[in-house]
Amino acid sequence: MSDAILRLDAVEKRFGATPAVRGVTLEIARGEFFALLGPSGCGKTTLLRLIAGFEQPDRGRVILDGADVAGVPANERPVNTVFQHYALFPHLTVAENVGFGLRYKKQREVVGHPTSAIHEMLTLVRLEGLADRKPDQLSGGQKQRVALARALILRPKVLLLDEPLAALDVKLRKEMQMELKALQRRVGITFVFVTHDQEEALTLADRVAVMNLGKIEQVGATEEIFERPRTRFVADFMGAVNFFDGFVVRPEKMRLHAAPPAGIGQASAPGANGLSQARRESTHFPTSCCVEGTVESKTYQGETTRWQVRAADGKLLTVVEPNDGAPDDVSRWREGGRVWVTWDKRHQVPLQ
Amino acid sequence: MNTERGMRNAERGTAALRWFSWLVYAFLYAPIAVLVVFSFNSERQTAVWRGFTLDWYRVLFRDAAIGNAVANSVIVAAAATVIATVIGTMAGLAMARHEVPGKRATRSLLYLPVIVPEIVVGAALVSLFGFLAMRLSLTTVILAHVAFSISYVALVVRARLACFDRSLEEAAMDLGATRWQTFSRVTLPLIAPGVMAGALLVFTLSIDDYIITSFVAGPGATTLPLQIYWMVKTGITPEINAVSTLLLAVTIVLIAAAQRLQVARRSTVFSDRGPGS
Amino acid sequence: MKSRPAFLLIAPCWLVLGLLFLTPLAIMLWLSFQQAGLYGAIDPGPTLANYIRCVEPGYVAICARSVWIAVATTLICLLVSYPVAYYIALKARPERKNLLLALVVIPFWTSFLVRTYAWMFILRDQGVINSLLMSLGVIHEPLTLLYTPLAVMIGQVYAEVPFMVLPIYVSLEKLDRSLLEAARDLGAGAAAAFWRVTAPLAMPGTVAGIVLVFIPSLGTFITPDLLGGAKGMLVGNLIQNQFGPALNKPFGSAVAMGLTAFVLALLWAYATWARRRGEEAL
Repeated sequence: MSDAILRLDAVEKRFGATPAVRGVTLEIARGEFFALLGPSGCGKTTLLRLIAGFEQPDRGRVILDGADVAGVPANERPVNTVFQHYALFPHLTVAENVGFGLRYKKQREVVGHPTSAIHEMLTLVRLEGLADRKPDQLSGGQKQRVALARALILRPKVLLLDEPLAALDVKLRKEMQMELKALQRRVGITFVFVTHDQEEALTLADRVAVMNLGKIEQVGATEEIFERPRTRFVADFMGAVNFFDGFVVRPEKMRLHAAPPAGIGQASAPGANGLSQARRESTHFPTSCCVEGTVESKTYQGETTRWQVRAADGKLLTVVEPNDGAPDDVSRWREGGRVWVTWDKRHQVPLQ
Repeated sequence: MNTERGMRNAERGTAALRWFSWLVYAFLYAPIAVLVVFSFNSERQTAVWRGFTLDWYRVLFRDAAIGNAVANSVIVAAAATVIATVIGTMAGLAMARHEVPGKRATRSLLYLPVIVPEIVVGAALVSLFGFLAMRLSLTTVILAHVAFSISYVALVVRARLACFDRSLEEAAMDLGATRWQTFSRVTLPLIAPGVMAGALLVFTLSIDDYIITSFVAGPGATTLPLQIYWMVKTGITPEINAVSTLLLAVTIVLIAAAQRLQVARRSTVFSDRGPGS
Repeated sequence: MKSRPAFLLIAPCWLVLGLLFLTPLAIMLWLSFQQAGLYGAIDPGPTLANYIRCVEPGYVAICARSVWIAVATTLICLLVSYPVAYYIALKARPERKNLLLALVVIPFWTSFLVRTYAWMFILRDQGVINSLLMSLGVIHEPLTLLYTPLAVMIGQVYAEVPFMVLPIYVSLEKLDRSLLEAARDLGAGAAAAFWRVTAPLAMPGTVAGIVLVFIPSLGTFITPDLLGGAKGMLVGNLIQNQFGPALNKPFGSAVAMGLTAFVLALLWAYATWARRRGEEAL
């Protein structure tokens, strides 16, 4: 990637004896919306802090727009951060918060008069009328927008966002996701954000790096991460929980049947029904697989119903069926009932 | 280059802060240390070390005036502590819990003794005793000490109750405890540390007080601070160092004891969580 | 019905404070309008003479000196205490904080008189400093350190430092660290981050510390009495003197009332300031 705005080269960081980031190499392109995704403690926030300059790597290099920023303190780096709980200065007004960074060296190239720049920024995030409010007079969404404006006004080469939407309630979060995405397209600045929410990562980002135990498990476009997870960890984190030897199937890709499906049924009826059986069958029937089992639980989820099916060999499969009210509606089946689970072989994702 | 200098500056800043803090600690403790060390110096006139001696302590223990002053101080402090702690705790409870008539005025009244300069309090009290034609004695000293220390107890207890979960008391009542049982088995144990802290504060304030006592102490009611003051004014001698050292030792032991009490209490709270672990 | 137990709980406190606090102050107020007779007798009056006497140049000078000493003490305490509070709150290792704080507080629990005496012992002509300097041959005549304004200042700062460190520490400790990171992130250097974020946010504690040091310093008595010498008389000594050797309780009362009114006015101003900021005073 020749147009990388940010390059991490074998970056390592430990706190005392605990490794937090273990050899991360990564390239992020100019103008990209990039997500660092992983469970808490996976090192994603440390990685963000290494880029921001709040931490210094023990080993490896952080290259921002072609320049190694080793030892450059946070206040001299051309990046800005939107903090998890916004970190708005409580003693300053919205306008003063937004204008905070305008007087420092690294923002010299900012065009225009500070007052008009602040006004412009507040218009961009739709906070025109609130310039004189104090942060504690704002709603969560408004605080979020002030934090964005405060960072974006400095035209950073990279904007870092630490769990930007975690502090908002569900409905507001959905709205802010759309807003954030639109904002990023409009300003054209590279956004790198940290999240533990895979759905948020998929919704917002162009590309995602999934992290685990201080390492990157997989980097790729959102569809790629979702559809083609390469490791068991990524597949699991993306909700593809039906693991077989060497491959995984997403719950939404599986179908439930009350009777042995035609064609497959005959082959699967005799003998043991199980996963090894399923694999053997998949060689017989190139497009489909079938496993017989009993319903262990069902959970109504509104648009879908989540089923847990215990296969004959003891393996627990998860199937998500849409509640579309079709004649073959499976919602009538009880727990303990006998069912057949099928899937298309094309949906088997091979794992490393 | 430039940036590495920045990092080093930050570290240097922290080091400077640390050194400065140690200097301030030295400033706080050097005078105390000097007193203690020179209470064992055999040289009488100057502050030059001439050798170790316990003579000044021996002189001290033979000094009847000092013995008398210590006895007076202990009587006053003990009496003032008991009276002020009981009345102050009651007031603190009332202020934190109930609709007290004239709550705002009462709060101002409680702050007054903390705010008004001691010298004014002493002068005012001696005016009162003069007005009432009361003879100055140990009793007037005790009254004065109670007057200026009730507020401290009330404020400490009230602060303790302010961060106290009211639902604990409601739970006790819900479980069938009467009002009195709730108070004695739930409220009192929970505010006990606050009451202890208040009592300790009264004791140390009382045993240290010079200014107010100097106004209201009659003949024969000389407390230890009055005695020390008199000794200091009549000429600095190593005996003063010795008696100062003893007084310091007693306060330090008291604070340490209070600290131990707090720690012990905290550990019983933790052990209440259950056996094992 | 509901207020009865409350009344019984609060009544003893009212009684004691009413009898032993408000009444004495009232008597003093009354005294301040009487005339001093011979040998400490009190001639009935009402007169304003005592208050008028307060503004005679000699007494104004004493008041001015008291204010000056209190201001200087407060400023020095601020300069000495802020770095210490900052170090404990933001730089010291977390497991050390409690110990470092305790070390600041412990001297407060020890006798004020003894601690002031310690400085007499150190500063006097045969004291530790002079003995040391003379035995080293640095000086041949003892330096006059005791009974100087410098001695009063040292003693006063020494006594008041804990009252400045604690509130500032509490304010700094409450400070959200991510605000400091945000300031750095937005381009502020260490100094700018301190002046634009740390200092304004720690202002409530700083002001509380200033109040806690300034007010007692105004009425201080032991420090000037032991370390200040004859020329170092402050308001506190003046009051004591009128009630003692000068045998003029009415004038002493007037001075005491003036001091009390000044202190209350200062606290009222502080409380108003704190309330306007939406914070609790002290």
